[in-house]
Amino acid sequence: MTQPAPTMELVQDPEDRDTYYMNMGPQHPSTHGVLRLRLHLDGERILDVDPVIGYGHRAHEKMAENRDYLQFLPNTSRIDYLSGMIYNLGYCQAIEKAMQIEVPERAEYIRIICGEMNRISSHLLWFGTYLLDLGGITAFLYAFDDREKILDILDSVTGSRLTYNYGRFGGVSMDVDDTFLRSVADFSEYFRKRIEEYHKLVTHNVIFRHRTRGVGVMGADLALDYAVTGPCLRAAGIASDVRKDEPYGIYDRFDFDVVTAEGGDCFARHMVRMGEMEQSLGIIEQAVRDIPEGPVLAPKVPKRIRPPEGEHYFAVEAARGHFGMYIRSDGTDVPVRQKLRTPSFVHVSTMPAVLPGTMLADTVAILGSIDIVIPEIDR
Amino acid sequence: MSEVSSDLALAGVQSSTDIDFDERGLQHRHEALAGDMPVVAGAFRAAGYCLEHITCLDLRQVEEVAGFRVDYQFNRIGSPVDRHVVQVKVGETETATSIASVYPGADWYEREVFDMHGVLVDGHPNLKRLLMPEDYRGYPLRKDFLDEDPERHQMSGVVVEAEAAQEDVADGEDEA
Amino acid sequence: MTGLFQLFPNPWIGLAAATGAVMGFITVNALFLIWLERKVSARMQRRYGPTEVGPFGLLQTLADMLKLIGKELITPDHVHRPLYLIAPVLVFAPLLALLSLVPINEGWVFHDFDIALVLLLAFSGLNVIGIFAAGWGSNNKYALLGAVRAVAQNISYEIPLLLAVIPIVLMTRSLSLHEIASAQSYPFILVQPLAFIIYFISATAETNRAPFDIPEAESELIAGFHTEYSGMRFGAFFLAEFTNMVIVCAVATILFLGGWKGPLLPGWLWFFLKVYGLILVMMVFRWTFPRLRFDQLMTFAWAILVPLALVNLLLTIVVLKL
Repeated sequence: MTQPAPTMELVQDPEDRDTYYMNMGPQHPSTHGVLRLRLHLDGERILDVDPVIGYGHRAHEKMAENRDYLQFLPNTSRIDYLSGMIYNLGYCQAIEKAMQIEVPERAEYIRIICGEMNRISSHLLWFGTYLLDLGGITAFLYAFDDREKILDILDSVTGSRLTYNYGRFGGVSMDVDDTFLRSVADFSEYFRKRIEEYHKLVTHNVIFRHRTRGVGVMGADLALDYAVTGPCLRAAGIASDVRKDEPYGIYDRFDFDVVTAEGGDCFARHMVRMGEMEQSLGIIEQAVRDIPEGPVLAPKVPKRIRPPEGEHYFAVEAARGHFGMYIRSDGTDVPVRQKLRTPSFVHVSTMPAVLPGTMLADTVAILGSIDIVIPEIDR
Repeated sequence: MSEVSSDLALAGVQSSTDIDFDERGLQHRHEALAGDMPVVAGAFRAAGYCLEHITCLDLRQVEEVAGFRVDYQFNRIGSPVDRHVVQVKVGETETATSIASVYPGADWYEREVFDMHGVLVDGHPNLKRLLMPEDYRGYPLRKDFLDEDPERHQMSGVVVEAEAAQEDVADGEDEA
Repeated sequence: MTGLFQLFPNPWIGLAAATGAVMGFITVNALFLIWLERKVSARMQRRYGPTEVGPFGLLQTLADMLKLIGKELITPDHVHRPLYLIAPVLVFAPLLALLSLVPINEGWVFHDFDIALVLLLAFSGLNVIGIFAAGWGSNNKYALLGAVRAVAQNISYEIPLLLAVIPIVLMTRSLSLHEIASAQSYPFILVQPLAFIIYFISATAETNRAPFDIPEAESELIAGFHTEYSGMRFGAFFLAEFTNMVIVCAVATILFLGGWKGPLLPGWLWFFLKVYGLILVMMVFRWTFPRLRFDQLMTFAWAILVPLALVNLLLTIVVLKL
C-alpha cells in the first residue's frame, strides 16, 4: 500500500558547505502572487527548484459542488482575474453547449469584442510587470495607462473593471451602444501605434534582448510532457490555439493568425504575446465592423439549468492558454464535480524541468515570461 | 474511431464509446483498470497525444461506481481535436497507478487527486499534498468532507444532518 | 594654490568648518536630488510626482526626511550587531572626506592636494567595505547575495574607471583636481570622448545605479544588501548613494567638461550646472533601461570596457609622444 511522502523538513545537509537553500516567496515582488519556490542554489546557479503552491486556494471546485450553475457564475471571473471576462463568457458557453441554448448573433459579437479586449488588457499587464521585474520600471506605467483605457471601456458596459460577471446563459446581460463601439474602434486605432512604440522601446532594447534571448527555453518536447498551452506553446513553434482547433462562439468567422515564434525562450514568448495583441485588435475591428442588430439574450432560457447526465467538457483560449471546464452532471441543479483545468497550473509544474542550470536573475525573467496567475493555479 | 483506438485496445482498455463532440466536447470515452494506466498512457504518448488533465470524482454514492473514479483526459496537440477520456474506477481501499513516468505533467495532477480526494497513487515519485498544507488532515473534495474546525466548516456551506442536530442542542445550551 | 583651509587660524576650526559645510551640502543636495529624481521619473512615466508639499512638491523630501528620522531604529534579532551597526557609517564616512577635495571654482577648494585624484579614487573604493559589512552582518541570504554582487561589481568597474582617468592625467601631467580643471582651455571631452563614455558608464556602475543596480535589485532580492535596514539607517545608505552620484559626476565634470569654465555665468554656477546635468543623464538611464544580469554585467566590464579603455590609453600615449 503506497504511503504518502513524509512532510517537508529542513533539508540542508550540514556536511554540504557549497550549496544552500533559499526561499523565493511566498512574499516576493516577482513571483506574481503567492508562490513559493524552494531553490537549491550553488552560488547564483540553480540546482533544483520545488514550487510550493496552495497559498491562494479558495476552494472554487468545492464551491461549484455546493451551488447551482447560475450561482457559480460570479466565481468564474475570480479564477483568473486577469482574463476574467474570457473565463466568465467561457463558462456561459460551456453551459449553453451542454443545454443546447442558442445565443443571438449580436451577443456573440459582443462576446468576441469583450473577450479580445480582455486578452489585450491581460497581455498589457503581463508586459508591464515583466518589464518591472527586469528593471525597466517605466514600461509598467505606460502599459497600465493603456490598460486603463480598456478597463474604462469595459467598465462602461459591464460595471466592473476587473472581475466581470457580464455573461448570462444565452447571451450577455447588457446591450452595447454606439458609443461603446466607437470607443472600441478608437482604442484599436490608438493602440496599434502604441504597440509600435513598445516594440521600439522594449523589443529592440539591447539589454532586454540580453536578458531574454536564449533564457528559459521551453521546447516543443515540454508541450508533450506537460501539455503546455497558450503563448508558451506557441513560442516553441507549435501553432495550436483553441480558437482555431475547436472554435467556439463565432471565432470561425474571423480572420486571424495564430502567432508563433521559434526558440521557446523568453524573447519568443514576448514576441508571441505582442503579436497576439495585434491579432486581437484585428479581430476586434472585424467584430465592430460586422456586428448586427438584435437581442443580446436568448428568448427562451430554461429557468432551471440541468445539463444532461454525464460528463461535459468545454475549452476556451484564455490569455494564458487552454482553460477547460470538465463538468460531471447528474441531471440536477448542482454539478457532481466541476474540474477547472487552468493553464498556469501546468506552467508552474514545468519549473523543475526548466529552471535548473539557470542563474537566479534568470528565474525572475523566466517566471515573468510564462505569465502565471497564482489564483488560477490554486483555484 | 480514432487513430489511437487500436493501440488502446491492445493496451488493455476495457470498453470504448464514441461521443458526440457537439454535445459533450469529448469524442471518446474508455474504461480501464488502474494497473493498466501506464501502458494506456504510453499508447497515447506514442501517438503524440498530450495529457490535458487528471481528475477524480467522488462517486461512492452512485451505484454503478461505488467508489472513486479517476478520469484521464488526452488530446491531440493542434487540430483536429480528438479528445479521449479514460475512466478508472478506484474503490475506497484501492489505489490508482501513477503515469508520471510517461507524462511528467501527471505528477502534480496526481498529487492533487491525493490531496483533494485521498486516493493514493502507486509509484508516484513525490506523493505530497499540493494545495493544502502538508500536515492537513482530511480530503476536501470528498462528499462527506468535514473540516476539523467546526467554524470553518460552517462557512463552507456544506450542511450535514448530524451536525444540524448538534447545532440545535448547542442553541438550547446558549439560551439556558 | 593651497586652498581655503589655509584661511583658518586654527586647523581644528578649519576642520569643523569643513565638516559643517560638507554636511550642509550633503543634506541640501540630497533634498534636491531626491526631489529631482521623483519629478524626472514621474514625468517620464506620464505622471506628476510630488506636487502637494511646497511649491512643485519641493518640500516633499524634507517631510519624508523628517518622517524617516522620527522612525524607530529597529535592529533585528538575528543580525551580527557590530557589523550591522557600523555598515551605514562605513558607507557614508568616506564621502564626507571626498567632498572637501572637490574644487568648485578657481581657488574654491578646501585643500588643494596635489594627489587629490588618487585620494578620491582610493576613498571611493572604501564604500565597498561598508556594503559588504551590511550584507554579511544582516545574516540574511538575500542581503548576502546583494552584497556579494555589489562587491564584485564595484571592484570590477574600478578598473575601467581608473583606465579612463589615466589619459587625462597623462595629458595634464598632474593629479591635482584643481590643476586639471584649470588646464582645460577646451573641455577634454573633445579629445577623449571614449574615455568619457567609459568613465561615465563605470561611474554609474560604481554608484549602483540602474542599469547596474543588481545589488539592490528590487524585484529579485527585495532590497539587496540593505534589506534589513529601516528608518534612518536606511536613510544613511540612501544619502550615501546620492552623495556618491554627486562626487562621481563632479569628478567627471572636472576631468572632462572643464570644471568651472564657461562664458558669462560665474564659475561655481557652471560647475553645478554641469554636475547636475550629468546627474540628470544618470537619472534618465535609470528609468529607461532594464537591468543587466549579473554575469552580463561582469562580461561588459571585463571583456568590453577594459579592452576599450586600454586601447584608448595606448592611443593617448602614442599621440602624446608624437
